[in-house]
Amino acid sequence: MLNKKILLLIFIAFLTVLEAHKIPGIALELEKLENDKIHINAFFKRSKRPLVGNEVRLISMFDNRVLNIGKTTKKGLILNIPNESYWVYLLVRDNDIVVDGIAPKNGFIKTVKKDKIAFIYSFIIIIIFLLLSLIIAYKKSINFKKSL
Amino acid sequence: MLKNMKNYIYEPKSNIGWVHGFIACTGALVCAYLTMMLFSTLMYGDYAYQIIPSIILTPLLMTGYGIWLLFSEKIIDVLKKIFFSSILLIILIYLSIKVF
Amino acid sequence: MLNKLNLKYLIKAHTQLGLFAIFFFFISAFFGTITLFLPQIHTWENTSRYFTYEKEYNYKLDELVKRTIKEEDFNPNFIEIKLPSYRDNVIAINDPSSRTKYINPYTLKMLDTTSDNSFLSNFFNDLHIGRNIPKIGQLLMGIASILIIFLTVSGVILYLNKHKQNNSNFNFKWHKNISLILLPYIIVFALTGSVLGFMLSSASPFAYAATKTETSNMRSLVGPIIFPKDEIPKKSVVFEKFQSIDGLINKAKESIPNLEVKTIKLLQWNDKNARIKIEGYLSNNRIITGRVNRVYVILNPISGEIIKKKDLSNSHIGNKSLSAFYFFHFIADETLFVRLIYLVLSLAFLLSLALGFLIWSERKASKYQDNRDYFNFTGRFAITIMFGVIPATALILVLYWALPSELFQRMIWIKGIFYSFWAFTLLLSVYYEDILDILKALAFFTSVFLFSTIIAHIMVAKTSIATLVKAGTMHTALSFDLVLLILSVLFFLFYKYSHKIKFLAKHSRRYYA
Repeated sequence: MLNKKILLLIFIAFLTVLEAHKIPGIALELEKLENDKIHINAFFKRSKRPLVGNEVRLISMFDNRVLNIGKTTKKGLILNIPNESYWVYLLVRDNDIVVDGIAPKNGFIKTVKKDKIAFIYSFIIIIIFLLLSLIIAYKKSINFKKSL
Repeated sequence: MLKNMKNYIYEPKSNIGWVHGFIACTGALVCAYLTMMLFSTLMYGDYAYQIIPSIILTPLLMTGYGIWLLFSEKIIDVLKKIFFSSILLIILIYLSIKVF
Repeated sequence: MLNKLNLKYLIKAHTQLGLFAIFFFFISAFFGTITLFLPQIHTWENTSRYFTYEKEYNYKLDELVKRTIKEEDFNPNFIEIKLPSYRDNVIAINDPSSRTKYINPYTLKMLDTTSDNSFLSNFFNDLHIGRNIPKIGQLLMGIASILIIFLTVSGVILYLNKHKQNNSNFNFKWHKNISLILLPYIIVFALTGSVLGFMLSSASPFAYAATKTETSNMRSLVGPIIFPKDEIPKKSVVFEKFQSIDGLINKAKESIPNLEVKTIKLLQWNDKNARIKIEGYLSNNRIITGRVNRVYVILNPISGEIIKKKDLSNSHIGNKSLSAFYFFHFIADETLFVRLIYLVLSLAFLLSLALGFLIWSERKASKYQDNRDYFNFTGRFAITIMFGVIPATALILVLYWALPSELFQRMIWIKGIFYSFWAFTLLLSVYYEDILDILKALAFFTSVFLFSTIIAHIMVAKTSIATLVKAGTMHTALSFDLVLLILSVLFFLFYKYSHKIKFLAKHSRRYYA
């Protein structure tokens, strides 16, 4: 029958996550403050040491323009929350960490429904192909067993 | 049930199976790590001298132990080899930590 | 030598562990072979690197550095300058936290790197390491490497015991011969791969033992010895006139003969206490002066005197041995000739792995030779892993250029379509009755994708390519397209005529008759 080991391997390969914009070992956290401001904290995951001097950009989800810029300090960075859906980009030399920005108290004036469309569609297509393959393989195995 | 297991462990095998293989693999891993841990405690020099040779030699030792453990006719032999080697190594490691 | 029972055990272990390891290790070896050409891929995928190369460099660093620090508002307490190398023919300047600035080493103009993202280089490298599978991927690849060491040793033992000297089985004969010839190559990569993939992140027991149960963090113990951090001198806010950087480089070269400078670090620049660190490798001893053991000279830029010098005489033996160890795995600064040799060895190794698998699958199939309904899922899955990956990789090359750059989550789409197509090849592999038909379909897709890549590339990077063509010399990006064209033709020929090759037709039920 369908080799159990192979199914396990397929499952492991399946865990392959389609992620972008993460840097191993560095964390970016946002904390909402009063007056519609956010406190941005960037630090090393293991030692908890803060990143100092790195540029932070608030980028609009609509047209990718830069809404706000700042540089991290030992105590993090405090910026105003923009009026539209945005991402927070932390520039670490030549890589970025991106997290979705927190909404202000009364919600965004302009919101964008950010779907993980690429991830979902690919996921569904992969599942369809895998299921079809497994069904056909199963049928052929049964056929073969019968012919013995 | 216990009698079945005892029979299974003591009978000589004509070929290896999952159990034999799995026990040999984990046993090889454990013994290789213990041996190189002993090396780390005994080696002179700074931390680089103690740790880097261990890192490089452990995979080779795993292969060596794996083959040694593989060549056992009965599963009880594998278990005996692993058990006695590990105990010996742990005692040696403990002694070298206390002494040096 | 070995008794019959032990031999039997060894054969079964070799077979079973081989079946497990091949699915991971083949992928690692395949993408490893691709990463041999990372310098070429990196140049091809980033249009900022499409500038004409001239015969010689004649840049002067002082003016360049002063201008860049001022324009980019770099923090002068740590500035790193990387000189042009085989891997990236640009001058790179950065400070601790800002984006690196890249400069054309012939015209000294800053490169426009806004559309650069080195996606392909990073993706292929991640697939090679196993980093695409979260958390356990790298460990699994490391474990597969350790298993390859076992397989090699057990294979040699089997050979020495004259196991099955029948040279009639083609797969067996060549699996054995190729592996024996490649023995040093395989051991080097299996050992370095297992250290890099598995041991480096699982070294806590050794740290635990070495510190007598104090700590189990290996990096905190070994890091400061092997990779000591650059000391940044104290700021005194007094400006001084410095000697020319190029002059200081010459002084360094006099102090260390055969020095090839790769990196220059400016520490607390523009200050009385500034230091300049000039690092590089020795052109007559590249193996021991790799990335892990660069030689350097630290100078006082005001007086020009040498403050500290590190060459082979005062390198830690840990650095020297790790440098040699990693040299054979990464061949970092080596040029095309060495890489082509490695390519031939790697392809032979992939062939040996595939033949090893065929020994097992053909022995299984031999019992049912006349049975039309024979179906073995493991074999079909193996075809997907070993051959399905080829058109999937070709597909990423097309998508990299063809997908519009404003597409939301562009990179996730590329990765998603890559894995989707790979899953599709599993469907192809179980659907077709005949193995050769599957291979032909895969070859056809690969050929089409590779050809489309060239078209997409030309359409998207029209202007950059035009400037290269006008200059007349053969730039890496153009040679890359040429290679893709040749490969596309080869795969198409395979699709059309492979059934005429007797060796392949033998495996096919439809064509063999």
